[in-house]
Amino acid sequence: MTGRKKKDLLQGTLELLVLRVLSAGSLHGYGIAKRIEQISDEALSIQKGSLYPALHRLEGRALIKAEWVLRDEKRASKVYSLTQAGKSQLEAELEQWNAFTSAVNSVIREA
Amino acid sequence: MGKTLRERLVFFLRSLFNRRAKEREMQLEMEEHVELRIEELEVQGLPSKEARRKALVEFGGVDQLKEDCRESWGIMIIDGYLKDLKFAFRMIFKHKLFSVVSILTLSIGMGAFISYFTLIDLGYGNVLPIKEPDRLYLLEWNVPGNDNDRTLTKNEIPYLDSLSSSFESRSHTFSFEASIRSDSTHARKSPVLFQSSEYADHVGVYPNVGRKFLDHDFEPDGVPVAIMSHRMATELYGDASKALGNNLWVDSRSYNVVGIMPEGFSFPGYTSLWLPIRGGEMEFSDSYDAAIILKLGLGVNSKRAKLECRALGERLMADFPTEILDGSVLGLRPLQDVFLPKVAVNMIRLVYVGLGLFLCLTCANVSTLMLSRAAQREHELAIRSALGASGTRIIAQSMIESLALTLSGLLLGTLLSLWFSELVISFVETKVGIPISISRSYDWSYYALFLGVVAFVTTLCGWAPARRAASVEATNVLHGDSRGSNKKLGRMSRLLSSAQIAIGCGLLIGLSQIYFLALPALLDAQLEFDAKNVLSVGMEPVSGSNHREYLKQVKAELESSPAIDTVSYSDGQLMRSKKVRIDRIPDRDLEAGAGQKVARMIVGLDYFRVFDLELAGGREFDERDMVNSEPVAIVNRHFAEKYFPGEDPIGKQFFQYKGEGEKIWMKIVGIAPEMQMAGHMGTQSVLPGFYAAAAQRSVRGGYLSVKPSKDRAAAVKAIREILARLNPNQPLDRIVGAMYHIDLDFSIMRGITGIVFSLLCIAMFLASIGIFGMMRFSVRQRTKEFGVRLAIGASRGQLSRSILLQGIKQIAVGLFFGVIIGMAAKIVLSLAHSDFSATRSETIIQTLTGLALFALISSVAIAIPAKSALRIQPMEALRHD
Repeated sequence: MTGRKKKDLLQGTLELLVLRVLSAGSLHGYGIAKRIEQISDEALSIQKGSLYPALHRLEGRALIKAEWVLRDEKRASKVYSLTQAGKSQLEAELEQWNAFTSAVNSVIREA
Repeated sequence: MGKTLRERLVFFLRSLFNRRAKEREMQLEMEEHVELRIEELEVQGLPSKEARRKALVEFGGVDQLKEDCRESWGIMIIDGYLKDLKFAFRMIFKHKLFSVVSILTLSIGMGAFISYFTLIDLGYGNVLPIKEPDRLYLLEWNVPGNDNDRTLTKNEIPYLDSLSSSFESRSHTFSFEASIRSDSTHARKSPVLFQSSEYADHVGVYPNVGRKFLDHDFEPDGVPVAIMSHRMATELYGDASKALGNNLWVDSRSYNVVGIMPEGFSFPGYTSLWLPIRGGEMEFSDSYDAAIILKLGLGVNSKRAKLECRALGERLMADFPTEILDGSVLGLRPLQDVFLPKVAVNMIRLVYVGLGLFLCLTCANVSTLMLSRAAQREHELAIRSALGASGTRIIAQSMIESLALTLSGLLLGTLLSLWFSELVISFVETKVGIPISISRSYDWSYYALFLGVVAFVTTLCGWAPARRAASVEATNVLHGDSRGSNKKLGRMSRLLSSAQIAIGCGLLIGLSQIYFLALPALLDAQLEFDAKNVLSVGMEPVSGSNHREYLKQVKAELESSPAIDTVSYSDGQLMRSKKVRIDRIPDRDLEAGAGQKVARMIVGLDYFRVFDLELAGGREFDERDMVNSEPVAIVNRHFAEKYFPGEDPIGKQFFQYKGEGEKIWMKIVGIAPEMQMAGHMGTQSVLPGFYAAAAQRSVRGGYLSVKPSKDRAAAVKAIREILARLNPNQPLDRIVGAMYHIDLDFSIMRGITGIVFSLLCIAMFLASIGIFGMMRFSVRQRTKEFGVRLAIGASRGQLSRSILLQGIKQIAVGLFFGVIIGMAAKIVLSLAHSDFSATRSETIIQTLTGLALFALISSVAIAIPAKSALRIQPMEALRHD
């Protein structure tokens, strides 16, 4: 039960991070993982086993959309971008996250 | 939001149905990830080979990742079920014998259901092709207990305006036969319907070419316009669309064609022309069949409406005490009852119940077969269970196998049904001569019913085997001990078999009851006279001359032909007498029968001689019966027995009501030979009635009955020549055998009886398969036991007896419940309609017939497996697993 809660939390957080990264522009899966690691100073390491299912899940919920673009003459990349629904979802989740972190911080500070 | 939903749906459907592309994309995406990582590692200075190895290690297990991605597509459950369905179809091909028997059984059951449902629906749609027929009622006066009804008179109709609370609207119609021709074709006689402005909305079917009647068409000084049936328009003008705007002659009056009804529509009956009732043009009289149709308001209870009509009737009786007969009730008669006799409607309902039971029987059969197969697959199920498959998963798998069988049965059944329906329709069209309109539009409820049937069959077939599969005890089975399972299996199988036998037996008793009910109707159809050789000719009225004189001339000319023996006239076709009301027979207190409706036929000289019949008493009409002489009548035996019991009716008098209070007194001069005057689907072939002399009545049109001298073809040729010479307007296509219309009537009854009979045969076939399957399964289950018993000295005869005993016990239990179902069906039948109530001896005969049929098929079905037990070899039996 505890494990499941932890997983849910992580999963939810990963989706928030993906949406936030994509709000800055379109990226492929590898790029998203890399960007999160860079911004977090390597503090957050994204497991591939979690990233791709999360991307497919977000695509299934129409929060992001995917398209294939040519990377060079021979190769194409699957690039994700935020949809309108994704933007609204990101705003709502950011609001929730801020409320959550400020509540946790308050407890940590004042307890 | 709408867009998001659409995008989600596209993603889901693409994942489900474009799986290969989706998988390829996923593979490419992961390869791209690894390549990008390799490039990065190479930039960091790692050798290419090392960079690839490291990237792959970091990426981890591809299969697991792919599985997680697929799960996020949200199609895993459906995907699992699709896989199960594929597996189920593989199993169908693997267990060929089982599959063939199951699919064949299901296809017969479902095919029969679809065929009968479609045919009955088609028949219903052809007889009553109107919208919301259940809201339409005929308003008429009737005397309870008598077959006596009449529409309202001109003076009574204004009272109907007070009927507003229960009824949405009211329409009037007058139907009659008229002579119709275009400017360039010969005249033909066809049913015509005059209608008031509300009628079209009551029927709810409008012309699909041209226009419907508009308000000004109903005004007295409006241009006379007509709407035609598609068939008539094609016959008169070659093409329906060419008919519009043309001139049309209806009984010498000119009309303009403004609309053509959809193909196949000819309601009511075989109407081919609809005309508007223009203000004051029509009068209620005996010349037309007048009707008042009321449409019930939405959600109004018909009981309330009937009470309202009854109350109005009482007011009318108080205001018109002399015109309305005592005891009359102003009643509502559902329009459905007018066009579909109650007995036919009830039989159709019963056939539906029979079909439901029939489907249950089919399912029980297949369920038994699936149960016996479950025994063979015990090991497979135990392994699945041991590998972690939950009970729900195993039930789902089993139900999907049942669905695969049902779908296969449905496919084959639909093909069978298409073939059978096609066969029946072409038979009805070519042999019986009734055109069938198959342009039926089915609404969602039709498809919902078939989906419901599939769900019902799947559940009924699969539930018992699924429960049984889910209850397999993996440890015991894998250890080779399946006694517990076999015990449960045996119990379930016995229960199913008993249910099958009970349904089969109940069905046989119920169906044989309907069959025996329909048989007397068919037997009644045997006419009491021979009219096979007689020809019937529809006569065209001659304008501007005395029709009676014309008929006299036609008779003389025809009889002078060597090809023709005798000719006579009648105002209706054979057994299509009109109904009239008679009243007040002098010196007789006839309160109960006052105003009784009887059959009446106006006939000319030699009418009975045409059919080789002699009067039972008195004299025929002759030269003495003139226009100005005393009106005379020849009554039939039923008339004489009803109104003059134990007396000689010759010389007695009675009168016929004619129009508004007018009466014709008649003196009885003869008693007619045995000859039905009216027939309707074989149920009312004998009515009290009388014949009136054509010489004393006004006649118009009507029919000639012609007895050929020898050869019918020569007689037809002579009739054509003579009539064409005497009246160029006479249609020459109306010479048919006198029995033609009667055959049409009886063919409907024969059709229903045929359906019941074929259901009876299929029910017997299915019941025999069921019993055979159950016994065969039982013998297989007990093979090892038989081996042991043979090894320790039991004789083969003893084994065979033991199987027979088991079968008989099983059948006895089933029969017990079957008789209860059959008797319940019988009670429901008698409650449904008095026509179904049988006497005690009839009930015993029907029940015994059902039981005898069942005993016959069960003894054959038990004997075969019992015989196979005689061939069991002890050594083989002991090795049997």
